[in-house]
Amino acid sequence: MKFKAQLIRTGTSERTEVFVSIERKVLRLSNGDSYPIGEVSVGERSGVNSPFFIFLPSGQQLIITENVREFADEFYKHLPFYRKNWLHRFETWGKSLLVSVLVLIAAITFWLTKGSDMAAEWLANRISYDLEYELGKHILSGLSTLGWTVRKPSTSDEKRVEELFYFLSEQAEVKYAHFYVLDKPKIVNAFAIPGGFVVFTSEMIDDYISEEDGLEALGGVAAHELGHIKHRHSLRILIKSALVASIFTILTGDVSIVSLGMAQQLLSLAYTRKQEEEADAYAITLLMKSYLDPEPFIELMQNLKEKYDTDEVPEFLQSHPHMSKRIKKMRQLMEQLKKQDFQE
Amino acid sequence: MSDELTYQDQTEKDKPESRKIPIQFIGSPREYWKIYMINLALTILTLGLYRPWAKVRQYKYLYNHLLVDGIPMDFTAKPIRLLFGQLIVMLFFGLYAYSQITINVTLSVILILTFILMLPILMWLSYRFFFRYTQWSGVSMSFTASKSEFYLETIINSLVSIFFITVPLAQRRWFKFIARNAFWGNKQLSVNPSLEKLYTGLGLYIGTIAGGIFIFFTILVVVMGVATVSMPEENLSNMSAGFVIGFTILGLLIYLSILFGGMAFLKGYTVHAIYHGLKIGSAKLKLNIKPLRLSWEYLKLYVLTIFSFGFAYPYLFAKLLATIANNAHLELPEGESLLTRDMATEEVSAIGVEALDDAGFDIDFDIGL
Repeated sequence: MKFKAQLIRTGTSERTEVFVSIERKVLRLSNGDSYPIGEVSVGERSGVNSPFFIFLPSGQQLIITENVREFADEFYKHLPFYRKNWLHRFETWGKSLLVSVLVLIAAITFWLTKGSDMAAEWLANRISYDLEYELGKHILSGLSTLGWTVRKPSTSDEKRVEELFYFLSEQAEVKYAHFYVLDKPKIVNAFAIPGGFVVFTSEMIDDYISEEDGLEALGGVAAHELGHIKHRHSLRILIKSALVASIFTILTGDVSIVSLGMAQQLLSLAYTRKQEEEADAYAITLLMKSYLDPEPFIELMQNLKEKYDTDEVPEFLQSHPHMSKRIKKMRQLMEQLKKQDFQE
Repeated sequence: MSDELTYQDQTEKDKPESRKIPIQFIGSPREYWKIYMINLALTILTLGLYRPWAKVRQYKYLYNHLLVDGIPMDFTAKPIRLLFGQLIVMLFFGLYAYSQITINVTLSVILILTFILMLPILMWLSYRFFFRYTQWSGVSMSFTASKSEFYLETIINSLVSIFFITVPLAQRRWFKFIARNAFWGNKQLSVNPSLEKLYTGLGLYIGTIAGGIFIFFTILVVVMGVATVSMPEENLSNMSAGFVIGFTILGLLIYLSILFGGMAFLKGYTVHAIYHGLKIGSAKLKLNIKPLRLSWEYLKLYVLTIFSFGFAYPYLFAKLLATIANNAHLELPEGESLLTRDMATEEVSAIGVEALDDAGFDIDFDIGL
């Protein structure tokens, strides 16, 4: 079969019409020229009727725009499998769209649910504690630019909590542990930053220190935050948010999402339900290992639940598990550990 | 108005017969959409590594299915070049992300300022990249403006466009500059965008936005007035959440319609002003589509893209390209030819294209489109 083609002269836009046929792995042109198929190269094709660009060893170009499907069948028949333009074949395969959409949905679902968590954990475990500490230092100094004044403990109450924190961190055997206080009126909170930095709001200390067993309760909060440090949760969150953002970057081509996601994560530091439960379990174990009673900590959680009514939002809508569920699990673990201890 | 026969067109009628060179888009929007989705899946599966190849395949589809005088255009950039550009840009944005994590304001500001100062250079690289790798009939295009010329022109244009009313003047200056420095082989491009069309587009843009806002507030006042009159005061203060949400959605839809309506006018008239009359050597591009119809095509592109969360964009863009291409042709004066010589030009880095793409602005196949 003969195919109509345009032969473009090297270096100019001058073209002549020729007819091309393929005989015994040789490309024959109606102007008398012939080229073995193995010696010509073909431009990438995209689309069923995509024109054929053939680059001849002489530097000329041969362009075929008519009957391209027939020409492609004829041409690729003579090529070894690795030169058969597999990607083009896949694109033009009838079911490729369905397969791609399914793969796309599966890949995104896996990545958002499991993949990013797994990758974040894997990456976090490969980052040295020293590097994490350096990162944490930068984050801590950066908080002041947001108007958050982080300082060393100054009052006697704050120093008592600090002392208990360092006692627990020794028991926890973490490489880096630093205690800071944040002056943030009306905010009762504590959080961990990568690199072993634990920050208590002054409101949190003031609210609970004067309560009966208040110091032990705050020790429980410190143990919980040490749990986040031990499991490197905050570092994992940062990595995960960067990974998730990069998926959206791939989808949208907008890199600014990466930095936006990280900044947001840093400010909210929302741990997953699993991470909160891990930190709770760690706190109970650490407190009991340190001969401290976990009950005041559990009471504090109960108190927070009543104060902020955190069970109102359905569990599937929150990143934190229901407070009542957490309290129940902590009590179960406490009983279990007590029983083990008694048996030993 | 701009669509009527101008004096210039009238005098051209008296000139000797010219040869019509057809332009046609032979691709299918559906097939382009399919290729886009397949390449997106491959990009996700390879965690973004495949993205340059996907991009090239998409460009190839659009270029290769655009025939001028029966000869397809070609996009000749190598994906590996785009990958290299992407890696460098990712390093820069990675550093910016790091400055954000560590809340390092100084580093963030330095990086943003660096990016702003580099913007004209990145744009220059983008123009050079897309012209360099656009080929027709075996001959590549090129963009010959020097870095300093381009930088200076960017500053002058920014100054000219400070006032809203002078934006069309800046646009005209800019596109004349771009065309003056663009070549297909040894044939220079030239444009003389109609100021009348550019101002009409701007006027319709402002008019649509102002009119839309007026209508929106009129509706708001009427609705609030009716609600105040017909509802007892205690019910008014306890207005249901459904009403508030409904009204917010309605407001958002009206806002988007106004915005896209205005943008579509601006784009339709600007594109018409640039492309209708663009010259490649002595060949002149003619658009047989009115600016108003073009604006309508853009409105469809914007609105349907938003309502499909971006997924319909490839389909709609290919459709728009087909509409424009199939309503365009080149006119070549008798005795003239499209013959040109390929001017050997050096390879161009893809850093500019990737940086601008990642930062959210594209200078690519739709230069002006």
